[in-house]
Amino acid sequence: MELARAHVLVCGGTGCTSSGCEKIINELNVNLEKYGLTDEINVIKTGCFGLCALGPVVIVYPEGCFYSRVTPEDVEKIVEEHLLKGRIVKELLYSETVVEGQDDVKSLNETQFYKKQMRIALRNCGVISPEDIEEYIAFDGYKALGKVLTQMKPQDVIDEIKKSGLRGRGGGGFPTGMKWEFASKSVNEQKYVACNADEGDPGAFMDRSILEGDPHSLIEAMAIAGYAIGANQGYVYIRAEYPIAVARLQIAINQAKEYGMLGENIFGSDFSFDLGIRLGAGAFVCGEETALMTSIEGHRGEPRPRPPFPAVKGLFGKPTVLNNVETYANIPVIINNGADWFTGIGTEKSKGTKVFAVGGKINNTGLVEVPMGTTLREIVYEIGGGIPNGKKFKAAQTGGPSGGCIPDSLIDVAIDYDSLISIGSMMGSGGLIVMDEDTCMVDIAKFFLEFTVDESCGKCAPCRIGTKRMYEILEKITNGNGTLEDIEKLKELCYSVKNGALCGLGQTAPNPILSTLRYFEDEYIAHVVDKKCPAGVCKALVSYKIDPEKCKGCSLCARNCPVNAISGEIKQPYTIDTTKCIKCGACVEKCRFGAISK
Amino acid sequence: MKTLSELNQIKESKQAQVNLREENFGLVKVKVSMGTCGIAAGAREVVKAILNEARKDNLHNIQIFQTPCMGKCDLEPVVEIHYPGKDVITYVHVKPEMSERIIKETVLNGTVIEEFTK
Amino acid sequence: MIEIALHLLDIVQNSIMANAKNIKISVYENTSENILSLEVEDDGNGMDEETLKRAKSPFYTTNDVKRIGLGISLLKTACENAEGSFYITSKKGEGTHIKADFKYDSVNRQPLGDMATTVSNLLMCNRNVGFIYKHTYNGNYFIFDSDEYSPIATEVVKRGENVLQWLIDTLNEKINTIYSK
Repeated sequence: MELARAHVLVCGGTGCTSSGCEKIINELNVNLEKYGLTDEINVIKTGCFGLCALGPVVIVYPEGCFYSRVTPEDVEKIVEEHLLKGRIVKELLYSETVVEGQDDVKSLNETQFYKKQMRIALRNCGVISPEDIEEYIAFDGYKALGKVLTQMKPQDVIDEIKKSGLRGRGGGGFPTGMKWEFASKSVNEQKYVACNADEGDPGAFMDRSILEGDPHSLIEAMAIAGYAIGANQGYVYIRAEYPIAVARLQIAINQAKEYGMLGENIFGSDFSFDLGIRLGAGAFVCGEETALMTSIEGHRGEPRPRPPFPAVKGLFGKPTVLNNVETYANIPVIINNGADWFTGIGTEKSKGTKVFAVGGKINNTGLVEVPMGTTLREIVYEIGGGIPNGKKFKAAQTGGPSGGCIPDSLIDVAIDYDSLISIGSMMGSGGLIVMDEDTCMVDIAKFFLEFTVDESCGKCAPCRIGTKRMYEILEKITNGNGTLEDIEKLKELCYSVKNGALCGLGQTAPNPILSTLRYFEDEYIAHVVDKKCPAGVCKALVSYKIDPEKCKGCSLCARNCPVNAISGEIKQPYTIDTTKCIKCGACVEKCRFGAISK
Repeated sequence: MKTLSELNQIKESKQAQVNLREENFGLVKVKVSMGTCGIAAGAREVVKAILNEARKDNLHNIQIFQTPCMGKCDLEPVVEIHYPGKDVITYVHVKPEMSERIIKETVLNGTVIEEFTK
Repeated sequence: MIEIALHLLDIVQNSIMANAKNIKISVYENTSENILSLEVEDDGNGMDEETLKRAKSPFYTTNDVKRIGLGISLLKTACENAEGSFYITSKKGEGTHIKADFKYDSVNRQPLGDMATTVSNLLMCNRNVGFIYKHTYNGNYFIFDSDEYSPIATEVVKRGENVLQWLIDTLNEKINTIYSK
């Protein structure tokens, strides 16, 4: 078979798909035909490269040119100049990789975004076509499964995972090896392996990218887990809001069956394993392990009390290992490279790397994978490229609705499971939302509570009633009707819900409140005592004022006010009637003299 | 597919196709200093020798660049080898005859030839 | 430099560093006119008047590793020693044009040298740039356009042959043809 002399990799993650990568692939194919290059150049649709802020992304190998923000119109140029004539199109390159005056391009690994990253769980994302099992195999795929089935005993596998120190990447951080050992020791004819691909945290898309970019790594890992604990059936519970991931996973499962990586007597051993997909239906609570299993069983997703833990009595009452997608993604690499290699990465109690979905007020939004122990400062300022528009960093939220915020004073915290808990946050599944000086922390707490109230399953009173009451107090505060007693009541409620809720959703729902109270209590006090929102976000507490010194009386603001709240005479300072003002901000945008402020 | 050796066969045949994507497989970049000093000292012949040697060994993962003077004019001709994953290797007073060893030892294996660095 | 071709190699480096996308190299030899003229024209960054004035000085360079830039001044000296003249014009944002004329029979003129290896060198190491090489000898000339050679070079590679050697041989053939007509 002819070897292609160049590969054009186009990012096919959900982000780039919504930015139009399909059109780009079409244009590529059309132009390659036009210039007669179809035999020499391969176009491959891959998973997420991680630098989502620069999508759609196209990488050409062997030079490793990273073309960013590619439009369908750019494609002809890339084909004609780069692929046909061999001249790199410098204007389309990611600016950091351009080397002045030379043919060369700087390697992606040397750019700010990628330099400090260590892509282990994301190793194949952006490198292989997720719909081609042979590409997965070319990059050492299924080698671990082969090794496990032919050279290791189930207990050996468990020992290796235990030795590696791998902890659950879904947020709990429970030692994976230990979980597998409990399940392995439980005696039962039927056991299950399950995967939590529900990823409900708003702003999190780590698992989605692994599923879209490297689905075989999950299949291989679950088969390995099955062998280790003695299960022959696995289920992947994946949220229905991820159609591309579901489709790619199904294709991968079909291919794995075709190639004998799933099914009877894998690699000629006694081990048989089958994998099925179960779709979620939009409930955040189904990301909680017992609710997830209840949902797979066909019931309404409600959590169950633990003990008994799933490793003893889980799916259909049988011993079950339930792990997160990212946790599984690490398994084949640990088996191939050895537990000792893995323990060399990370901190003493948190080994390996963690994938973060960095979003919010940051320049380089996207997916990053860093060794445990990397500081928040490195993630925000070096990898993330800093805060846009020169604004100041205020806080970063980790762990989504279950987590807490990390203020500027703690920006040098080395991120790992235990350090985050000690400062009142948690690792969570990896969502990292960056906030700047224009964010109101009370509003943030309210936002997360709104989500939690909506998602509470209602089974237990503390969560069902408590979250709603907490939300109401926050609403009161942001509307300017709060009192100091409300804050005290809020704190009390938080502790009651935390201690009384049945599952993790309720137990962690108060975290955003507790953590914002801990570090930004002054903002709460400003809201209730001064009736002001320092960040200028809470509409009820914000009033717009025209500075008579700066106002030139041009009437531009008055003419644009949708409710006619501004009045005055030409060439005289205008005034805003705050009773009519709806705080839409249109006047601020129109004023050319900067005379209107909050 | 039932055996490990079958898996390996698939891996090897597919690898040849996807190899060019691996960052680590990557191109070994050979940079020859082409400032006035380098050219006067014979850099043109060094480039010719290195390209010819690479062709002899059928190397496709080598990329040659001409760079401006790197400042060590008394050590010209100077050749820098960027082997993926290793620190830059700098050879000085390079003569065309040295290209065989440079390709076979440094470009292919990343081994530093101590005598060439002085 | 012992060959004029090496001066050429040096000057073209300037064009490359100036981000030129297209470089025209022209060698004009005419024994009856008693002239050997070397011309390099590029579409790189170009220089404003100030910079152009300083460019001819051996103490001006855009390389931040050192404080001397001998390329242009050595070429200027070489052609003036051979009773010739040196011209350089440039426009910022458009490019630079250098012409170095040598008296053909001057005792101080270096030999033209190995143009084939020089041009091949430039082509192989700067795939991003388009080169047009025109060589005229006593009225006979050929034009070599790097864009046209690209597909042929791919064929050469596919046949498993040495592109560099093929390039050098091809260019030498063309040069010999015009010398022998």
